[in-house]
Amino acid sequence: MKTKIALIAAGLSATLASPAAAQDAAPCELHIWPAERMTSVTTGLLGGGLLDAALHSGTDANNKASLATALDSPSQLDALKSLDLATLIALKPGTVVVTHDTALERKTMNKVKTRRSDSTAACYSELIVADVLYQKAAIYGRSLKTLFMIRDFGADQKIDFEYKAWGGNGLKLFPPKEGEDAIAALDELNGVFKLNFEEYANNARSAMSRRKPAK
Amino acid sequence: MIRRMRSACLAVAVGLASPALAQDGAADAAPTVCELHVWPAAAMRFANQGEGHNFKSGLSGGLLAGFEPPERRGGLWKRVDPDAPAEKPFDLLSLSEQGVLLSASPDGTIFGLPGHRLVIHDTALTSREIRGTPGRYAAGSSPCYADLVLDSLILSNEWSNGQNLKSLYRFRDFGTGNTPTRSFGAWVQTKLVIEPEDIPAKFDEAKAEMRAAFTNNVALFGAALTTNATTGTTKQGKKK
Repeated sequence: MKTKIALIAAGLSATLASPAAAQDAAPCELHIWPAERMTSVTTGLLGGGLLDAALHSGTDANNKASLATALDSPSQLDALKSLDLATLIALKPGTVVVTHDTALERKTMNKVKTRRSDSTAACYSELIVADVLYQKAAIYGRSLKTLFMIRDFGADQKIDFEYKAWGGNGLKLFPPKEGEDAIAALDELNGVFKLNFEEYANNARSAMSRRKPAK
Repeated sequence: MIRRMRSACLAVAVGLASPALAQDGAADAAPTVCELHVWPAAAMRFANQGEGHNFKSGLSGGLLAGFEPPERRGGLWKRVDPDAPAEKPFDLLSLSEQGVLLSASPDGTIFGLPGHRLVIHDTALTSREIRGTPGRYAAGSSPCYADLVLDSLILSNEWSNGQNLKSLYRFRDFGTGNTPTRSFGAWVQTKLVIEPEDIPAKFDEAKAEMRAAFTNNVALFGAALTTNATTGTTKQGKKK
């Protein structure tokens, strides 16, 4: 299921002002998929390992439930749509954003090298949220990390440019404790998810500026 | 469509002598008592926290984990037990069953709202509706209004920690206004005995256990809500 949401604001006025031009040049498309996989990794002073995993299994399960709730597919898509994508990832003016409610299967994310939608747009790119990871480490504290991937196809089925990287920021409220008010902590995940994308996007723009074709 | 539940004392309070009137007729008339609107969860989801999911520290360990939608979990059951029943796993607690369990309370006393009539909705709110509606979810003309949403219902299988039914409830009390005067949301969970892999073989038993856990979670959330209202504790447990 997919939803065309809007013309990117930067290009909207130009497109509306010049209908003839819009007809001549079909708008670019950016397709967005949310992440399905949520992970929580808590390590104590043992620094990981089987015993650490056993000790924190319940905590990590609770955290994963919170991640899956606060950052379900609609929440991820809404969070990304609320950002100025046109500026953040330097979209071409008039780019149409198409969101897909159903996440891609994680194991296919790197294997499939062709377009993940059936779009035949002559100017086509993808933004895929690959992973959402909560991490608590004894020394580094709590953070939410998100793995994003941008793929630009141009007019064909071949990837012209690809950039995959993590964005990560610290957390102050998450995780909530059982029986205590969880709403602020869940909302914090949403806010940090956006910060993660902004961090990723800054790096992605740098990579775009020294753009090399994908291997 | 909503199913209206009323206690006998509530019927007396609003002067409803006839049970038939209490069931249907009053739905058209302007309510004279406060209402607590309750929404069930759309579907039960399944989470698996295995021994390999954070076995390694760092990202590589974390990436082994997964969060399984019901359909995929159903597929897993089929692989484990080819004779698994036809019921889908999320039928363990369907919308209608959740509604029945939620309506077990005569009124909103368990949530610290005595005298509030429970209005159990038989459809779930979407994620966007839950997060994107600052005002009341339901239109109504009751003199005061509160709502309670079961945001998430998760059957969690945790290595070294057994299995749990986790529920995230969101509560908002609007009083007589259109903006919440109090809001509270919390996770609660109840331990389950039957392991997920055994559910197909013990489906009826599992359903009964799930119902009991669901009811216990309602009570746990009610206790957390009333405790929070009494002590005014924040997430960190400090007084406001």
